[in-house]
Amino acid sequence: MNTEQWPSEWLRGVLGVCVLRILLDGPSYGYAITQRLAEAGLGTVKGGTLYPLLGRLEEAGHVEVEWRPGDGGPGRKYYALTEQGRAEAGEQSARWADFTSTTRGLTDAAIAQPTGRN
Amino acid sequence: MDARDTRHTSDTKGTRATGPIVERIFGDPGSIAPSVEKAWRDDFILELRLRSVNGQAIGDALMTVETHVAESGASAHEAFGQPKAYAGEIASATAAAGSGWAVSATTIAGSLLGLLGMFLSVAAFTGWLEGEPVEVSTGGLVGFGLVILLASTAFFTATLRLLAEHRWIVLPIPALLVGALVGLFVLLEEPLFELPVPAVAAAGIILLVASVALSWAEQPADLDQVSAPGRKPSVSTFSQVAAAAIFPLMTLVLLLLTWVLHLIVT
Repeated sequence: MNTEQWPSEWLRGVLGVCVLRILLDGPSYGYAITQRLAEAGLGTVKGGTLYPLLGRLEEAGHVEVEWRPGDGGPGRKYYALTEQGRAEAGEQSARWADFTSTTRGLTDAAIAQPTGRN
Repeated sequence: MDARDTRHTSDTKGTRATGPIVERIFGDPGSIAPSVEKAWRDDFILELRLRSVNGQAIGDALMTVETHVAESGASAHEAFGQPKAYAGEIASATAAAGSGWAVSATTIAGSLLGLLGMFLSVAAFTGWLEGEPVEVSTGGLVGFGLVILLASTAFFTATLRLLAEHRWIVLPIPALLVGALVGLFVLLEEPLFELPVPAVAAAGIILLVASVALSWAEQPADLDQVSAPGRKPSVSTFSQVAAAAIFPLMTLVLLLLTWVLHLIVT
């Protein structure tokens, strides 16, 4: 597992598409989503970052929410993709793939280069 | 250790800015999020209130923090950062800002009528106790104008925010106000005109009734109480009446005080 913390501006850009992708597997709740993101190697995403994002997804009609009672606990707020959200997840993932191919096309050469001046 | 535990328990039950009576009337938002530090919770709720987020949306946001904190084991501060900043993020992300109770022209009118009714009722009662007509002096009029002006500014969100964020300002205000009023009465004591007690009393009662009617008409049925998701706000009729009849209730207290003072003096 990659525990490296990525630059926060990279995470801000990619978090939306990653959360949509996680929700493709089925409805989930905030803390479980942060765990999935950590397992995927994105590091610790704080609640203060995740919930406003989920709020924006809800506002845009990509997810719908439901409070489910917990086992004696306070219950959990589950987020489920809507049809529109499902389409958005596919579309954004495809665009993200294009984007990363494009950037890699440019930056991969830097990996092969010996460090220092040519 | 024991002392800290006890303090923590009582902290999760009470709230700093409000008392038990206010909680009984408006509900205790703390009970929704017992795992969240009280100071963080209070600041979070206050900021959402200042942004006019409705009670149910506040309850939802608070419960979300509660479940996350309870499951992750992190403090609210670690997981969500500064309460004020997070409240701002949530309010703008969910477009919940402006959906709750906000100061309207009716609120201002109802409160100013109530204030005026309270002053007139107390003046009439004092005149009746002393067997004299109500004497209106320049100082009385200027002082009343000053109180109305100050009370009106309290309706601006900027004033509410200033008072909420710098609570120490609130402490000297009553003393300064009373000082200024007494000064005005003493400096400008020459009577301008006199009014008969029954007329002043009737005007006072009419204004108080009008303030109750306006507050009642504007008040949301649930008092915009902070409530946990899926729970209906538990608002009793008594709470609704108490919230609408705040000025008559305050007037009754003032009348009682005036009467006690009159008994002591005579």
